[in-house]
Amino acid sequence: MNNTATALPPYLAMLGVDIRDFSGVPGRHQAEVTDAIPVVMRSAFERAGLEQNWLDKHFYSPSGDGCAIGLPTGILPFLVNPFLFALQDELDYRDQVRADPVPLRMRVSVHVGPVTNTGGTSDSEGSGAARIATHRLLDAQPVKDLLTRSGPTTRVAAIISARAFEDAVLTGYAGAEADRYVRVPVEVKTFRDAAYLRVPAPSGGLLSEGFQPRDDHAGTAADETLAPGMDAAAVTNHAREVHGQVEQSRDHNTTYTFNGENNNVNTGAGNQFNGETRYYDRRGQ
Amino acid sequence: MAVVSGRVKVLGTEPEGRTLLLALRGAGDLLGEMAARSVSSRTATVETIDRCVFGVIPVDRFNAFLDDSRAQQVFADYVIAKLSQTVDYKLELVHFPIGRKIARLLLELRSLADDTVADPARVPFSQQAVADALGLSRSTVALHIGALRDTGALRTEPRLEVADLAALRAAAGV
Repeated sequence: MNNTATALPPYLAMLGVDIRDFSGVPGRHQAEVTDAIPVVMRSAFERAGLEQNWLDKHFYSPSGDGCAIGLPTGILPFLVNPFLFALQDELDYRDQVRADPVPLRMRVSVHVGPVTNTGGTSDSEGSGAARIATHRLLDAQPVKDLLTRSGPTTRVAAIISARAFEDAVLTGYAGAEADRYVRVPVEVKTFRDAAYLRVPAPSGGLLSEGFQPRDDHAGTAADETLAPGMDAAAVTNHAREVHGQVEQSRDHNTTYTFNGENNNVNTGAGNQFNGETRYYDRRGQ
Repeated sequence: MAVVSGRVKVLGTEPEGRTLLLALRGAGDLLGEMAARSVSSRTATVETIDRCVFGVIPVDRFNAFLDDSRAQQVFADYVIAKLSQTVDYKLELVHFPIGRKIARLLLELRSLADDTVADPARVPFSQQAVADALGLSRSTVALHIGALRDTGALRTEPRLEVADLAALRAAAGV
C-alpha cells in the first residue's frame, strides 16, 4: 500500500432508492416503471420545496429498479425531513391518478460521506466507500422487513446511516425528534454498522408490533448500544392507542404487553408510567 | 357509505367561513366511515361532482363484514392514510410551480372519472373553481390554462376539456 496521503474527496449527501418487488412488475411494464423513477424523484423534491437542490445534484445514477443521487451536503437534514414525507405523498398521488402499472413502494437510504466528484459526467462520478454504504443500507434486512410487514398505504421505508443520523437528526438540523427513529444493527456483505429506521406513514404490523418484528427482538437486544453523543433520554419511545404488543429493545430492555380495551399494562420491566402512577425500575441499582 | 360510481369533493370550512377543497374521491372510496367509528363531530362536507351512486352500509353490518373478512387492519390503514390526506388541497401542492398545481388538479379529476361519468374528459370545475381550490387568482389560472391548451393537453376554447392525457401528465410532473 502506498503510504502517501491523498486528499479526501468532497462530502456529498446521498440518497439511495429501490423499488420494492420490481421483479414482480410484469415484464412489459418494467421499462415504464424504470422511466418513472427520475420523474417521481423530481416531483418529490419539488413537493418538498427542494426543486433547486434537485437541479443542483452532483450525480444521478439509475440502477434499473432504483437510483442513487448525490447532492450538496447542506441538504442532508431536508432529505430526512420533509423529503421522505413528500415522497410518500407523491407516491400516494401517483396511485390516486393511476400513474403506474402497480402502485410503487420504495426503500430509501440516506447517507453522507466522501465520494469522487469532479463535476463531470463520467461513470465513476460518486464512487467510494460511502456510495457503497448507501447501496448496502438499502439491502439491509430491517428496512426490507418494514415494507413486508406493512400494508399498501406504507409506500416509503427509510434507513438512515448512523453518520447521517448523528449529523442531521441528533444535532436538531432536521427538525425531527430523534425518538421517532428506531436504531437497528445492519449487516450486508462486509458492511456492518448501526442505522436508523423511519417510516413516514406506518401501517399494518408496524403499528401493532413496532418497527422490529418480535422474532428479531432477542437477537438485537444484546447488540444495542447508544450512538456516540446520544443520551438515553433521546431514545424514549411513545406508543399511543396500541392494540397488541409493543416491545422496546434499547437501554432499558423494556417489554410491555397491552391487553383489552383500556391498554392496561399487564407485564413489564423497566420504568413504567401508567396514568398518575409511576414505577421506576431500580432493580439494577 | 361507499362510493359506487361518480366523483365527489370533500370540503371543509375556513375559520372565516370560506369553503375549502380538502380532497377528491371516486368509486371505491368510503365516506363517513370516521363518523361511524367515533362520536366525534362532523369533520367535512361532501358534494357530488357527477351523478353518483352510493351504497349505504349500517355500522354494525360493516363491522361484522370487516371481522368476517379479517379486514380490520386494512380498514384501519385506509382510515389512517385518509386522515393524513385530509388537509387543505392547496397546501399539499404549495411548493409546486403554478402550472404543475393546475395540471395536478385536472389530472386527478380526470383519473377519478369512472365509466359511468357522462363526459369524463370534460373538466367539471370552472376556472374560478380551479382558482379557489388552489388559492390562485382567476387571471393566473386563465394564463396557465392557455399554456396547457398550447401544449395540446387541453382542448381549444371554449370547452375546458382534457385532450391529451400524456401531455397533461407531463405538465403535472407525473
